[in-house]
Amino acid sequence: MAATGILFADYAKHPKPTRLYLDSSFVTTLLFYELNKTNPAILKPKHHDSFAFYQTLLSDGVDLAGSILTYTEVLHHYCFYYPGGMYELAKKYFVTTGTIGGSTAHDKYKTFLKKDPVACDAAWQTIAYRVAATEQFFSNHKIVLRSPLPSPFLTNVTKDVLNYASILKDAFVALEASDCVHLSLAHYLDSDAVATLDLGFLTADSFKVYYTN
Amino acid sequence: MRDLMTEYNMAPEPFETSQRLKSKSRIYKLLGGNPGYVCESYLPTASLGVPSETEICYGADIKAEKFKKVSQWNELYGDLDNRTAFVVIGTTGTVTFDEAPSSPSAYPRFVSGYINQLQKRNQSLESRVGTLESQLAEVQKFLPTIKKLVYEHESALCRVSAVKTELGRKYDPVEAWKIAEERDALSSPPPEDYSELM
Repeated sequence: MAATGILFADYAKHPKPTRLYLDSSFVTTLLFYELNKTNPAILKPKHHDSFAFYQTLLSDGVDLAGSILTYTEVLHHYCFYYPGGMYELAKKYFVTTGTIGGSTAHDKYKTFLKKDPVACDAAWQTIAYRVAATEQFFSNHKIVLRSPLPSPFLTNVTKDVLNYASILKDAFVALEASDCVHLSLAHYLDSDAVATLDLGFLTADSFKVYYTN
Repeated sequence: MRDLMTEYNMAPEPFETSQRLKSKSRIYKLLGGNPGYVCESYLPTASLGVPSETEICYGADIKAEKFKKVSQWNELYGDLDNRTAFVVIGTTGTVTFDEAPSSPSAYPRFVSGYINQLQKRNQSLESRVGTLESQLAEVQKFLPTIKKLVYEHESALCRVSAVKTELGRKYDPVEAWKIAEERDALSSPPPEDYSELM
């Protein structure tokens, strides 16, 4: 048995959710759309689908929920992976110096940081605005980050969330570890469904998943 | 429209009866939006030689003598011969006179109907109070936890505030998105490895 998958385009055919948990793949796609909406040639159907879906949710008054995991993954994506991010800056640095720096983008970044911290920091300062921009993006788009609860007193709740995530990871090969935490948080935050572009979510039982291909 | 409570604070001491009719003291609108405060006594403006007694109604201009804070709201007194009335408007504050009597002889029926109206509202409010009391009892169970959370949060705010002040001087989440739109809009498709990632 798999999750109940609903295409973004079929949203209207199903009961309207009250609260929808947004995973980072969905929010990252939305971010990409917002940054590049003036250049349609860059955008793919999934960007348009995601934005149209987001607008429908907004006009329907659906509570858009995220978590600390949603936020950090989007922030990391924008600061490191998105074109012009730290991985690209590290790559350019090593092209300029004529060295390799490492086999992966992350290795290059780490070597850049270690070998020439002043240049690395200077490179970072050119894109540091992306951090505040990410925060502003969540705020502008009315995506409310509802987890974790801000208290050691509620540690037992966090433990429950992670225990549930572990059980999900144990059961489903297609779910990555962070996907399991997203799904667990979605249930603990009393969300009716999850919005994602990660099709691995569709393998998990007992979840309702809005997605696009 | 004036605020009754404000007017109360500004109003002179109560007048003697003989002074009342002669007094040029303020004419007030009888408002319902001031929970807990009422015009304790008033004269219809007709007594002052202006229009008719049909103005003895909610929202009419009145000459207020004094105001008092009341503990219950379903009270209505009248001294109809003198065309004065004592109306208590309670905690919800909205009292509607659907029909104003055309003459003093119609006052008793009018007053009776009005009292019924107020009594019904009183019942409704008492029921609401019962519901709220039971909800309060539910919430009270969680008060120790809530207090602890608030304490923890306040402690955390103290701990981080110094660091935030120091590091956050150049952090500007207000203009950052505008900068992002200007600098990060792509002019050509992203590299292959990024597209695969997306």
